[in-house]
Amino acid sequence: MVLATSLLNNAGLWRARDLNGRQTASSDRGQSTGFPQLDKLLIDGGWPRAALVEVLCDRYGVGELRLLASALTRPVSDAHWTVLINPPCVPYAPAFQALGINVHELMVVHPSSHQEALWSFEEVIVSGSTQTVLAWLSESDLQDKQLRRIQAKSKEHGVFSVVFRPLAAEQIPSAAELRLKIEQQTIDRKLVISIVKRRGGWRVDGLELPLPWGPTATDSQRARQLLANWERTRRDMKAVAV
Amino acid sequence: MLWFGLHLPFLPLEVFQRPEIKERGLPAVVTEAQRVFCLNKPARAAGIRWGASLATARSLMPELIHHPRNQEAESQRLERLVRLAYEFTPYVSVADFDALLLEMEGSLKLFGGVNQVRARLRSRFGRMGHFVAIGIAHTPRASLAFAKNDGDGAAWPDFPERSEIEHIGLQQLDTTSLDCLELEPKIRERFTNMGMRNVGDIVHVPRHELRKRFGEELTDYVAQLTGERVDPWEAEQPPEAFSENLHLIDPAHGKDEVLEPMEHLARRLSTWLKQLNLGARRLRWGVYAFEGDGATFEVGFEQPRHEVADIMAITRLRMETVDLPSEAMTVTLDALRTAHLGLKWVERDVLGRPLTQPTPSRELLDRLTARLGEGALQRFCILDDHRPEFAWMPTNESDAHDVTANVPELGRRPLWLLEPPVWVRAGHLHIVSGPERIQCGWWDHEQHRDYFVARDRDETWCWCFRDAQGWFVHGYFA
Repeated sequence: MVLATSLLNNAGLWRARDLNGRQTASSDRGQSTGFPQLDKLLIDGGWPRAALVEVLCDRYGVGELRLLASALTRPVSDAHWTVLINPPCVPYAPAFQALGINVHELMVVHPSSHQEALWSFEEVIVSGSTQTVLAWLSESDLQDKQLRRIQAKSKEHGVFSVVFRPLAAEQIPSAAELRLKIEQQTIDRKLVISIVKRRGGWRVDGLELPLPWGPTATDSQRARQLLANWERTRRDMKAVAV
Repeated sequence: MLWFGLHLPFLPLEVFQRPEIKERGLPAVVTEAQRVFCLNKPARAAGIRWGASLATARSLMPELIHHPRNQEAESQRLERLVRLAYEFTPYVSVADFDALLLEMEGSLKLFGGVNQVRARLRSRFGRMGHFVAIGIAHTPRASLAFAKNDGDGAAWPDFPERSEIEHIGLQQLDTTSLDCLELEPKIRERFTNMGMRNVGDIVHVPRHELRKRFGEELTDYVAQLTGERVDPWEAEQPPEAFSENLHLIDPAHGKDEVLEPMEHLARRLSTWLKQLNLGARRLRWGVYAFEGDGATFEVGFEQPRHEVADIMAITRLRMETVDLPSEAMTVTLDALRTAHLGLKWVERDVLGRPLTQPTPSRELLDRLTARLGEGALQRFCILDDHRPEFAWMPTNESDAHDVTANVPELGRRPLWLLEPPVWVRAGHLHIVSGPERIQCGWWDHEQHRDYFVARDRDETWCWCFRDAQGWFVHGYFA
């Protein structure tokens, strides 16, 4: 009996009846994702505290940062830096501040090679100064053993690491604890995602997560109308000038 | 006052010897004008005496090692020893070409008492290859006399009272040989003829008698010896800049071998920094070959550092990306920027570890900068401007000021910004909302833009604007 209890407490094991939704006693360990449907499907009841997570998407700006927003704005602790390694664009500081991230504690690293990127990734993880690292790595140079190493280090040092990879990487097995695929963002601001891999459960497809904030399409008619008016006025002005 | 007189009887000889080479067992002398000026114990044992001609000395011992005196090297070495002594007290004076004076009363507590200081001084000097005789007394001149008497002499309590210092000092003076005083040979001879051997013999002679027979100068000297008369010494000031080099005797091959002399320089830097209570912010290393160009590289620290281990850890990382000459003969180190540490650096916890340990994030910044280079790290601050290009700024200062006024409503601004904006065909955009006019900056880079939120052909939500040149995407709502 003692043995059975200790087995149940082992984070690496789960009961078959807990599949698809019901969480184990460890449900209080994760940080909520901000999406109740997603929380229910994750064994930690939210983002795992210390793990490597893969986000698969082909485009920037489909809502990948809003998906991770709750992990980016974790409660303040000593390890307060948010580090972005090799991001595709410039993080717009005022918007990050609005999100609740102190921009003074936001750091972008621009490594000049894949090796340097991996080196700085590991340095950041083991430094004890950060809880969240987001990295955009070169897919052609990325090897499974490198991801395995990042996963192990993240686990050991309690860091939430995210690697962004293209959709094509879905077919490649990965050591990441959680793999999410972003399919698209609909016009009514819903993010359609799939859970490719998760601890304590099978794959889930077609999960629709309503994004809590962001631009809306509510006044699109009016916007297009205004634009059309403006274009017409401009043309008229030009004609007058000619 | 508690004076430590430090006498280095073998300094002229020791400047020719490297501490790591054990040539101490061999008889060696330093000559000045072909006469023996300084000799070590084996040479003395062979019968060589001070002032003997070099020819005589060599006839006594043909394999004798001898060097002509190098006063420049001596004074350079003494300067370094002064810096070393600064670790113990701010009052350090040069008493002679081979003697230093340290006033220690104020720092006894910090170093754990007289006997601790004495042992520490001896070991620090010993590590640099110097034998040092230490005399302790209530006056500077008496301490020097005791030092020359070879005697660490009297037993001292760890924390003596003022009266006790004077008592022990005067007592020891009584039995000190007159040979240890700075007397003119003629006067010395007259004392001998009068049957006076110890300092005690002259100290107890009534002063007016002494004055009548030996003059004002000697009487003053004796008064300074006993402490009846003040004896001011000017304290040396530490140098204001650090720029040192090390010439290697054997060339260093490869990075691992260069690290050793570099660490040596770092140790000197650390000593200098500690004296002035400074921390290094930026250092420049130089590694030069015997001929031709060398390599220089700079190392920066987010937080002022003065510990050798911290300095070397960052330096080592930085070195990975630097090409050094294959045979290094000279290593240089300059402190380009330093910062005051405040008073905290000597505070230590119960285990003796410094209390002001660098915070991990600064450590991380230093490590990343050292390996990836200055431009590889980017941090931000927010500016009070409505134009997207001017509402933020990359910064390197960790304590940049904060403008919180310009924080937009959540979701109104994109998280990803394209820098510079990318031109797009109007047909590729499907306008979702807008416009929002941003018109500002008549004083510089004036902008009139109408911003829209649009979905592009990939159904990505983007932030775009239209101006005279056409349509541009400026960011993504990630």
